[in-house]
Amino acid sequence: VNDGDFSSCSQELAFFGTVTAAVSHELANILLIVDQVGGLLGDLAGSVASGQNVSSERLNVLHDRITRQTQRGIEQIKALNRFAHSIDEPDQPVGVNSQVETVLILTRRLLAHAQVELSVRWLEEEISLKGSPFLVMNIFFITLNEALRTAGKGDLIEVELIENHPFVTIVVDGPAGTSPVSGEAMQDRVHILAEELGGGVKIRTEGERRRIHLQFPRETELTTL
Amino acid sequence: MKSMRVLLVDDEEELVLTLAERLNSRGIDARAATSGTDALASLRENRFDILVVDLKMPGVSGSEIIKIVEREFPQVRILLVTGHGGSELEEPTEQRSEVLLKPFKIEDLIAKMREMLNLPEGCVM
Repeated sequence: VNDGDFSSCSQELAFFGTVTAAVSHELANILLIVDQVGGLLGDLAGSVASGQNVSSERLNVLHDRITRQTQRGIEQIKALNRFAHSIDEPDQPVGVNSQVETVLILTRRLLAHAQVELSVRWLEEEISLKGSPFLVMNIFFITLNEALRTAGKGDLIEVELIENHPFVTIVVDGPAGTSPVSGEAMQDRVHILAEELGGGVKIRTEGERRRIHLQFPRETELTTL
Repeated sequence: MKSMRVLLVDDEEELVLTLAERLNSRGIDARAATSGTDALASLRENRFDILVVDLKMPGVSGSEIIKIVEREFPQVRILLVTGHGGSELEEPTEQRSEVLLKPFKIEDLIAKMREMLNLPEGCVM
């Protein structure tokens, strides 16, 4: 293994580590809440058994808590499953909306902790790229992470997916920040990964905002057929 | 006789509301806060024996709350709650604190708080 391979591998492992840590934290919280709400229902059952009244409204509130947490857990598990299978085939159709959504679900906790405002403009219809879903997610994650690094509490990060035939562009627009060091490392890494998919990266800083354009060739109709 | 007064702080609102309700039903005066800012406001308005705080929270983190509590409310005992096995306890203030790992049972939480306040088993007052 040469230094370049090791560096690339360690960065991909860092992506994997960040995602799984965030998801495991989310799932631990969800299970803890469901466990405690279940415990509270048990407490209430004990109260009823000892002759106290428990209102249906109170039970409905607890039912809703369990339903919300269960849905939250299902969403995390589904996204984690898509993430896990993203390395099954190195060359397969990659739905852009789907991959961006997966990363946003998996990094929900990171986004919440950064206290940023996130706005997403999706493609009206799903468009496929030809390539590795893992690479697409990794590139978007690195870019999003860079936007989080330079964003402060309450800052707006805008993600926009644009069809510009024969390409699809993912734009991440966020605060420009003051420290370019990590930004340069991010650019180098994203350039390498995007080229692996036959795409490219453009970065424009306008005033206090920086727009990172990730451009990928879409799967051609010929390949689709 | 006064009951144990506990402030639960976690950005998971449904967790702290549920825990508070379960503790209240066991005779413990528990209140909930969903951010560090809310927690500090509550600490300034009320008296608490124990602060149960999640280490990782948006905004004012658990670690920052601990520093403020140690400075402004030295009588309040601090119980850190974390889902990361304690490996992320970096600051000396965090390492000095009592820790409870997520997930936990309500009985574990009560036992830990009782131990911190030197209360006999079964007593929450």
